[in-house]
Amino acid sequence: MSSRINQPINGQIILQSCPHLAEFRAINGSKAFRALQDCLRVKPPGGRAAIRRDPHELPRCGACGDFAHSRLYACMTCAAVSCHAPTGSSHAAAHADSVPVGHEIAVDLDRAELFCCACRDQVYDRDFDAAVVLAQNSASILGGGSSRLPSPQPENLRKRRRVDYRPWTPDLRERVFLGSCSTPLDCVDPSLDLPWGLRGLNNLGNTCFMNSVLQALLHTPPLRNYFLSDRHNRFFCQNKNNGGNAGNNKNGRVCLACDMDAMFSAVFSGDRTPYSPAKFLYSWWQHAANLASYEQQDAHEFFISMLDGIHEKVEKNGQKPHSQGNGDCCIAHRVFSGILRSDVMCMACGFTSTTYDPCIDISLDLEPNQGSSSKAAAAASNRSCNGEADCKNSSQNRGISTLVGCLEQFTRVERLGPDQKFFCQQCQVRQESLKQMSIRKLPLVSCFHIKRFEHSSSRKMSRKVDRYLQFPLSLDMSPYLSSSILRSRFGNRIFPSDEDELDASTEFPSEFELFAVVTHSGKLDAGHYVTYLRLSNQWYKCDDAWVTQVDEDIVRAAQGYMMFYVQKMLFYKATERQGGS
Amino acid sequence: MSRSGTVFIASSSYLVFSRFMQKLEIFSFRRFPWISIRKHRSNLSQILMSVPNEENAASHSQLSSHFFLDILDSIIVDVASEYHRIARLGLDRNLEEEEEELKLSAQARVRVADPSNSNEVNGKYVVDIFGQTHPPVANEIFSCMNCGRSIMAGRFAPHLEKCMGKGRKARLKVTRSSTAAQNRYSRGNQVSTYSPYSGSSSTNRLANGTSGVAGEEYSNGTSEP
Repeated sequence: MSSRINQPINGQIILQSCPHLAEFRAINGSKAFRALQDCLRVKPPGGRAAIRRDPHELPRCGACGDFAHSRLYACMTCAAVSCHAPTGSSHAAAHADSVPVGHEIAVDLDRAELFCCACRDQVYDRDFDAAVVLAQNSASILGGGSSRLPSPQPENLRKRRRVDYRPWTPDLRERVFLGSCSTPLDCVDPSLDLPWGLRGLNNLGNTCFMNSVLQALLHTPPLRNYFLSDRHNRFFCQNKNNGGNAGNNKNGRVCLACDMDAMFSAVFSGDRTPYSPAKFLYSWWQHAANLASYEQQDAHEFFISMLDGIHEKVEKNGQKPHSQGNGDCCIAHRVFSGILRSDVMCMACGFTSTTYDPCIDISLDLEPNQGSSSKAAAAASNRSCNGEADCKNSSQNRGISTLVGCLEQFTRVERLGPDQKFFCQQCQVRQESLKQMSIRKLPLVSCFHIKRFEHSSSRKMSRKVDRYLQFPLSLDMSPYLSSSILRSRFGNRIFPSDEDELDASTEFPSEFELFAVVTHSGKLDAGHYVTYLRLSNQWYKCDDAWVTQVDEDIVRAAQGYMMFYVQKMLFYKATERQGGS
Repeated sequence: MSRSGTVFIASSSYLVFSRFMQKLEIFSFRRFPWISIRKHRSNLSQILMSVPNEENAASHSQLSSHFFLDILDSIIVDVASEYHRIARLGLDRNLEEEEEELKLSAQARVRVADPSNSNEVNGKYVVDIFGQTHPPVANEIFSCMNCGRSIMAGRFAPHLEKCMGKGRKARLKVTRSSTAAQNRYSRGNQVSTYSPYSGSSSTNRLANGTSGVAGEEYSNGTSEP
């Protein structure tokens, strides 16, 4: 089961067809499956497809008359129904043998899957799958029939053309220009071959919540490249009042991006003495005037608030009503912004309402009983096929939560019960429904925030969950993409969806690499934040002013609170550059 | 052919079966939410209706087990067919890699928990990778951007809080108007778990601060509890 015959390449599934199916297609053309269209029955709405000529037909094997058989197949050529058993007599195979040629391909009546009686194996075909999905869709949109998938398209999902990468080396004139206009950084201590930009941040009095997030942001590859390539120059920033800096102009507008720029310059200057992000704290407090006292600060809240601050400035300045999900509005959203898709399906009629929401991080529940999640159970059953069940089971018995498990939990189908009925546009009444989240667009940098926090409003109590969460160093996000989720909802049929088109157009692979982990130790109201950074595949611990080198094991065993993953493509470029410097 | 006989079987054993099917349906819903077993139920009712009269003699339990095995068989083929498709289309996740990561983290935890080979000497108040050592409270002196007074780095935040007129009183009437709040999503049903933007209580966050009193007195060492 685990052997991969058809590897999906960049979201595209490549099919290998059996010779009999190829022959069948050659004889009948694409029309072959069109006749089946009227026989496809989908019950209930959104459910699985079956093949019945008449809705109340009770098919039975033409050879033995068995109707309760679990595997009944109808010949695609002559519609003869026969049963099949992997061992012993197969009337389906006998039927294929009885005629000289062309009766090998049959269809599974209960599962609507193609079966080759000669190969005795299930076979897959694109056109057939498309026909099944069409039937499933028309069953879920009973009377409507207006659009196939009523999905409002966010404006930013238009195909974007990418520019090819061209390496650049300065020519003589450019080199002279560069030399005359810049002062090269003098390497402080060349004996220490440490990555650029490693610098401790002074604790300004319980500000480790800020330092921890800043360290992660300072080493976020796309963010770092943006600021270090002078894309936001604080001396020419349009957002500030007439060049007056806030030191002598208290009422000057704050620009957090300018403060970020200043901090990047300071941290990448080569100076290794701890830096005090005092100006940044001051500006951030001015921006988030309503986020009062620093004593009770949460690193995640700071993260959201400061990205929001960078975004807001650009918004005001640009005078253009960018949507946040657009991702083109400001550097904060260009790096962190993704789009979540939420589907709510009415359980009565199957009408699905889809909404898209921009997000700059994903907050995940630390589920106490992750073993009971439906997909985890399915994965476990799949694992047992691989003979690796014991390892997984033992880890489940020990109750280890995993980031992958949390993501499965996040994208699993959720039943909204009678207390949370939603208004179905088609039924025109409030109905029970199924809800499912998925990721429509992946950001360049994915930040996962683990809700290590339980708050009971009834008991006025809060507590921190100290449980360990396993997180991988490499993460494949493809199972959580809308295209994958949607496909699995239609029984993993291959069909061209708009989600697939999007995946192909963005061209970004869904593989991510971990580059920063913000950890929290201690209790709810008295704890400490520390960040682990991965630079040139070496881990560094940034504990306020102290930067130390640590073993990978320490990071793997740490209690993660926020995990920062960057698209693998960008990660390797980053390490190369770091290694070269 | 007595019609009442068929009806009898249909009414009594159908009740048993519909209960059974309900259970199965819940089971199948959990595992394969978008697949339903209702199809089988409609099949069954047809089968039950067409059971010939001679079968009337057969005990219900025999009939039950016969149907049970059929359904079980069918479900097994369902699952097999589903995973056959996943495997053939290459849609299965890379479980080997996930397994490897799990193994590595389990090993790491064992090693870190073992005090004998602890290579990290608390990390703090020792030399960092640059060969520097730092005081517990940062002693860099700079002038406050708000009032211009000279202030020590490690005491800057508490100073600035007072200087900018923030603090306890202000905190009590916290209302969040950040656009972030509007852009957040939530998984509808988690009413009682976590709501970072409820703005209701200041304890609704993981905090790094020490107790409020210590923070206000600027006492030494409170920065690192």
